[in-house]
Amino acid sequence: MKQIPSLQLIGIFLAALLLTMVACDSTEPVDPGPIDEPDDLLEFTYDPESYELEYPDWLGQIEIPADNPMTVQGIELGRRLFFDPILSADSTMSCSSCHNPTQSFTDGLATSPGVDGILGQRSAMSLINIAFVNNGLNWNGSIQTLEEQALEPVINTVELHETWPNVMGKLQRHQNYPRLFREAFGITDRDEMTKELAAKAIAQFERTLISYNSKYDQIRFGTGVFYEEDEINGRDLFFFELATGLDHPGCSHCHGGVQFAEPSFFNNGITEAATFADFPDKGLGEVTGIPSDNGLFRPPSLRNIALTAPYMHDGRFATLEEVLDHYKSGGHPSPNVSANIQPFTLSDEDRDHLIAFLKTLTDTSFINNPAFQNPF
Amino acid sequence: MKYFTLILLSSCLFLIGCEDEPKEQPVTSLDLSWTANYDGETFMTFKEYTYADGRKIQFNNFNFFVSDIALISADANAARTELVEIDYVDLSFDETQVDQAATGKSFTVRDLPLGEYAGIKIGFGVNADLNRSKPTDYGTGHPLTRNFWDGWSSYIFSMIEGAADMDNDGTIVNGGADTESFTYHSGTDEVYNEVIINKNIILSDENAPLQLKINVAELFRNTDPELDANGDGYLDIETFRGTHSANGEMNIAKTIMNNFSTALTVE
Repeated sequence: MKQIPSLQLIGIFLAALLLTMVACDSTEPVDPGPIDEPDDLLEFTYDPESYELEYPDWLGQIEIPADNPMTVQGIELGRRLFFDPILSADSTMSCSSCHNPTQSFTDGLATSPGVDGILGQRSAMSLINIAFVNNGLNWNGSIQTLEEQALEPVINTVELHETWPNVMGKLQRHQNYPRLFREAFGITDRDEMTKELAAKAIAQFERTLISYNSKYDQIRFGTGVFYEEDEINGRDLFFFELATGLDHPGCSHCHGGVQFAEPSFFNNGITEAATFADFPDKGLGEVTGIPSDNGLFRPPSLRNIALTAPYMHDGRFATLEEVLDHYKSGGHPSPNVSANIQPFTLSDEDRDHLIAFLKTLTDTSFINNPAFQNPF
Repeated sequence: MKYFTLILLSSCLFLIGCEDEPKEQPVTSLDLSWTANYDGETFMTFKEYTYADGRKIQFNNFNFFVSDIALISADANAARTELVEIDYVDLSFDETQVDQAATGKSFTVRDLPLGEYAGIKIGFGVNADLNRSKPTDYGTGHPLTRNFWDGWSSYIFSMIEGAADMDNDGTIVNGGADTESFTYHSGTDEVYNEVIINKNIILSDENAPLQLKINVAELFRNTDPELDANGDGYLDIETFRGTHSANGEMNIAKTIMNNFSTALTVE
């Protein structure tokens, strides 16, 4: 039997490996050769298909920026970028590392480590119905638009810790991305691929992350589904606490509306502080510079809340039971704690019923939506 | 018949030709400026004031909705001049925001006809029509995208939140098991309060801002003996630490909303 020379073996192996990578639509950049030719993308068709977000009127209004209309191609590019670790310094992490669909676009951690293993300051927020948030993104409302937000994690040293020039270089050299940018935005040359376009694409994808198929939605806005008894009691405790005899303002003061999140900022009493300067995390105050805004945070949507433990901006509570025990206790004193945080009596049974209601906000069709999954 | 048509056509042309150029009615603009004070002292959040019964009190949130603000013509038969359909007035400024507290919340109404007016009408709260809507009916920046109360299907017309020295030990405890906080949330159609202030207002080419001042202390004035254990004419905040406009608490909500009538001065 004729032996195959080892050099040939290596060659065959490399060729097979390359074929595998191409076949799997690898996220690794592949050098396409010279890229300095002008209009090198004209061979690809630019025929964007407009995309209409579908959601019921009662869910609210989404405002699409005039300079970033939704297209099928833009969303697809955004989805790829969202899940592609090419955006990180060492190609180990992507947006989805902290915003994992199976956990309603959170990561199950109190605070998340970046590519260097350094923990961030705050817990990853769920991206569920993020398109409806219009009073500032992040826990402290520091960024106004999804387009601006998408630029930030790449350069954050405790997140993806990369530079945009590097990222764009990798994307320009990639086998697929130049074509995808062309199809999404009509650029004619890879030099026109910019971080702004990358961010626009990611924002387009994020705007599609809409949930309205929880049991709560089906009952309130649909037909044929009914609450269990414990869920009814939990719902009444959530919305009508005074009516049910509980001397407490009500969860819906901060978690009101169909998004279960008021467009405002609150100090919910999780941190004891003698003065405004004593909050370890300044929250909204970091953004506004107003001392009495220190310690205030955006209330997260409670949609899919059962899937997004741990809770609070620093992930200090592992379970919903712990969360409710905190509110029941009246929290910790501080100068600007919300007046709605007051101690109240809550039996274990009522607590369980409240949690049963909160679980009706779970929408598994959202987390399993094929359009929201990793394309690689 | 031919002559008749010609005459008719000529007459029409004559009439059109002689029609006066439409006169543009002179218009102007007016700034409305909302500010708050506590018995004359500039109102600021997290600042200690003295309540009517002598205890210390501080506020961390004060906001309210106003609806259907209109100027009332001196001519009783004339229509009202609408200024604002709905607005959200948040006067929660802390002691580092002295300028903002002094300036308050301002907005400009444009294209108002010049003239003399006999007064101003202000609805405190959200009028019944708008109160049937929900935040999801509006886009970013609209006043009615916040403070909706699912439980009562109403906007919270006014929010007054803070804490007071309830146990008279000289300190105010905010938060925790011993919190001395209060929350007065007034809402539902029942407590909507339309106020008419008679005041001669002349709109000319240039106008000084119309100052709308709310004395927060006056919002606690009370004539209901049930709510006034010590008989000082003000709400007993130690006993009645809040309202959410639920059954059994509507009297507090009504009292506060009604008090906007006397708490308001227009200058």
